[in-house]
Amino acid sequence: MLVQQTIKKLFSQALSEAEQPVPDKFEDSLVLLESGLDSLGFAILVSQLENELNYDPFTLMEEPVYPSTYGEFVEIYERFKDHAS
Amino acid sequence: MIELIPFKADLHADLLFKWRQQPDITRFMYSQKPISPKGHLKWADRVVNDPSHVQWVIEFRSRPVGAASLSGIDDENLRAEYGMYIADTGARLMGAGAAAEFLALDEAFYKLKLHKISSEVFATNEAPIRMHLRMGYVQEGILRQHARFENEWIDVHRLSILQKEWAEKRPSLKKLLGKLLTNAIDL
Repeated sequence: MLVQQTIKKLFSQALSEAEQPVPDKFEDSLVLLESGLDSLGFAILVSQLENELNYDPFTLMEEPVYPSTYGEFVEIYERFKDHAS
Repeated sequence: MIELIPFKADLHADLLFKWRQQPDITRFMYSQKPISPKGHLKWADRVVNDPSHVQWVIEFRSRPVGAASLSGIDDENLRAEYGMYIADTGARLMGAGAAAEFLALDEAFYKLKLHKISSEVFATNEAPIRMHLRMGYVQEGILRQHARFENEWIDVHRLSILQKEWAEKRPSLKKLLGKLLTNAIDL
């Protein structure tokens, strides 16, 4: 639950900083490239998630698999949460 | 984690040829005309030997994911045009474009000692326009109906950033981009 809440909080924050509308509910089907975040927004989001959660799932993967939707994004962070230091 | 690798025709020409045919890349380019392998090799040979052009391949976590360039380098007026695309969707979602642009602006201002970098972005490509503005670029104007895509006229945003503007913006961005910029130069 902590992972989901943290992602939602930081995603909302990133959208606000980018002056983009923040949805009331983040649907799992939300396509990340259509979320309103630009490249800088994604870079900051992933960096801040690592600071808060203490792991970066994308560097822990043997073969990089990247999400296309919000649901996949959350699932990847959930899958690696045991690696938090 | 992000690196700008100098373009080498023998190593990278095939890769860029493939990328330059991706519809999600070409739709934001001025020319939609199909390119031939021969024409592409000619382009590759030209950019390698053109002193007014710097071409890079962007590597993200040691994988090539896109291309960036400074073109029209004017050593009298100390300016150039910046262009970039990220061909790998996953890398786009990890912020590779922003981090690559950070490194390219460092190269432009601190290695090539340029004064001004400009960029043109299709109005239909909204996210990069926002990204440029957040990185310190200033919009100079809109080039009306400056490009055509699928018989529709497209406005093009003209943006630029000066060396002193980058120097002001850089420290906060470096902090925000964190580990993506392990290769950034120390000032």
